[in-house]
Amino acid sequence: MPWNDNSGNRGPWGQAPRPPGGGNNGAGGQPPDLEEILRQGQQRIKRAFPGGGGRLGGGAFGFIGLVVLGLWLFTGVYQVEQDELGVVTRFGQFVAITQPGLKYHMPYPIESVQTPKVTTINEVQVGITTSRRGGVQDMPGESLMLTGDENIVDIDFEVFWQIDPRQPAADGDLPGAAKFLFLIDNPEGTVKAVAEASMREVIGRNDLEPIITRNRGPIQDETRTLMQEALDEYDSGIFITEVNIQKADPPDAVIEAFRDVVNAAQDKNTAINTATAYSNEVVPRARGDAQRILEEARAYSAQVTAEARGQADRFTSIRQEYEKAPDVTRQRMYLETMERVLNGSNKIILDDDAGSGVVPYLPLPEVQRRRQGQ
Amino acid sequence: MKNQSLPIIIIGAAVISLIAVSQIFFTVPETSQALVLRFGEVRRVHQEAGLKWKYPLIESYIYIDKRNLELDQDQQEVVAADQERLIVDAFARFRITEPVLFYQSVNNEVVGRQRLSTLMDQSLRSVLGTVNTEDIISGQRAELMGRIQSSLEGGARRLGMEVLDVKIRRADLPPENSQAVYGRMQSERQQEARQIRAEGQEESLRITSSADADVIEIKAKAEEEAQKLRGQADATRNAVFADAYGANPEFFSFYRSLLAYEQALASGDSTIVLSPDSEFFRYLGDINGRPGR
Repeated sequence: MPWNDNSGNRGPWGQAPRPPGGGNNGAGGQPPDLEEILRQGQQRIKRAFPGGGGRLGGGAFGFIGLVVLGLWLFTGVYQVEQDELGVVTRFGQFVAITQPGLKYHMPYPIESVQTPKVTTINEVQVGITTSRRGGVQDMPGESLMLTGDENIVDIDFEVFWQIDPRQPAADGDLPGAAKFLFLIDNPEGTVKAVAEASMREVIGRNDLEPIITRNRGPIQDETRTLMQEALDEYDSGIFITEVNIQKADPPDAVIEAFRDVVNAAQDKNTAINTATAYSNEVVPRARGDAQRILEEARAYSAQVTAEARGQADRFTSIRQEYEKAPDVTRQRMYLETMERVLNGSNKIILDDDAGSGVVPYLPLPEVQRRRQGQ
Repeated sequence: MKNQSLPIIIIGAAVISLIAVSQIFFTVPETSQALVLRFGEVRRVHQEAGLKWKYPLIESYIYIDKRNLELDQDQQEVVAADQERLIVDAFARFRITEPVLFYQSVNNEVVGRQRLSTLMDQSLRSVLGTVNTEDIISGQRAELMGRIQSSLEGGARRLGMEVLDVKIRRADLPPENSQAVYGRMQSERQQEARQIRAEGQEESLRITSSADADVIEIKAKAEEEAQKLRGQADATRNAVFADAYGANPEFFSFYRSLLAYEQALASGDSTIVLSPDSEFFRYLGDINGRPGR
């Protein structure tokens, strides 16, 4: 049948490809093509009824019939946009997937087409809802989950999905777009329900600590795998492109305690650093002090030995001179010394005979006063 | 006349045939299956999509959904085997596989969903009532969902439905228990935080006390060395003196005495009472400069 030839972008009458005004109603917005068709139709009518305008009633009727027929045939024209696929059904039964472009199917109601957007990535958020105005609202009922060690964790995540672009596994299998349209009820809600169930299952197998610290990647992957398994089992024609955990925190009620653990680790480091700083300060200072003590001892040592040697040398020199002339030197030394000693002192010379009676009355305080008066 | 009535006849025939066609033929979409009823009695079943026919007037048809459908349960409280309560929110996926049975037993989808929902409620409670909370939450979730599904299957099949999957969407503790969990989480973190801080103190004290010990040791060793040095110096001094003075002890005694006198009396505030008979004044009383006596 010529109608089924969808290989070229040509309509049933070979007209140039041109997007129809709207979908598959095909009736509106095509004046040039329509006139062309009508003119051709008129010529055919004229050939069919050689009498020309003589049999006006029959001719007009035939003409109207052809117009109606043309319009009806025209309902089979449709366009598939670049991001869509055409899913054609004949009397409700799936017959073909058509690629983007201007296409034709048998006119309504024999065949009809649906054009789902197959390249669009859809997003489902769990744990938060973003309103149209961009406000984000937390949904604690969705986001609070029990972990394997019976703690509660607050997880917000988003799931990105699209209509399955993969080739059907078996020959009898429907393509993803057809499955999506025909085999599943409420795809959006299904994705969300499966997402919640899968995420909770995965979180329930893990402990709190790795979830909130480092284990996001594996959890995302595991959730994605679980979801895809379920959705494949449902023949949903839905492909999960990504599961993305946006937030994995302890619940608000206990987050302070968790932050305090982090602070405690900081405090610990601070204490250790302070202690190390103290150690770094006092030990070198002690080494300095030790060096000072040693240097002082060394100095003392040098000083004492040097002084001793000096004094000894001095004595030795004097002794050697003395031994050359002992008597003279001895007297000279004695007198010189006494001279120096008595020169700077108060002297009172008392004759033994005269002084024996006087000594008790010697005015020592008077002597003192005189000295101070000087 | 013949020419004028022809279009009317054609139009009339077309309208009548259209009505006839619409009464005889009907389409079954891919999303549905259809039952053809004659006066309420099921005559034919169409599970494949496409163009179907029926006798006009005496037969009618109804659609029954063929898709994978969701049965969303309201969340409900379930008591686990360990008497702990859980809020469970589950959903099932099902498909109407036996439309005749389905039509006969529940008539339509609304009733079918209600019946299935009741069955699922029972399965959920009976299965989850036999296991402990931690198995529901973590360990055997997948297995439990399988068990709920299989316990639901028999009942569903009697209603013409097939249960494709049962999933526990949420299994959470009731709010009161959540508070208890929060309390426990909080206390766990607190003890962890205190331990970390105490470890910090421990480490800090270890470092400072070790430093203090090092300081004392370093100084003590230095002191030891210093005293050794001083002792050696003093010994050297004594040796040097002994060596020098030992050469003439008598002279040393004289010499050192003179030095000592000078040192001791040099300050100038001494008052010395002397006798003119002393050795120093030997020549003082003699005009001839001869020593007296």
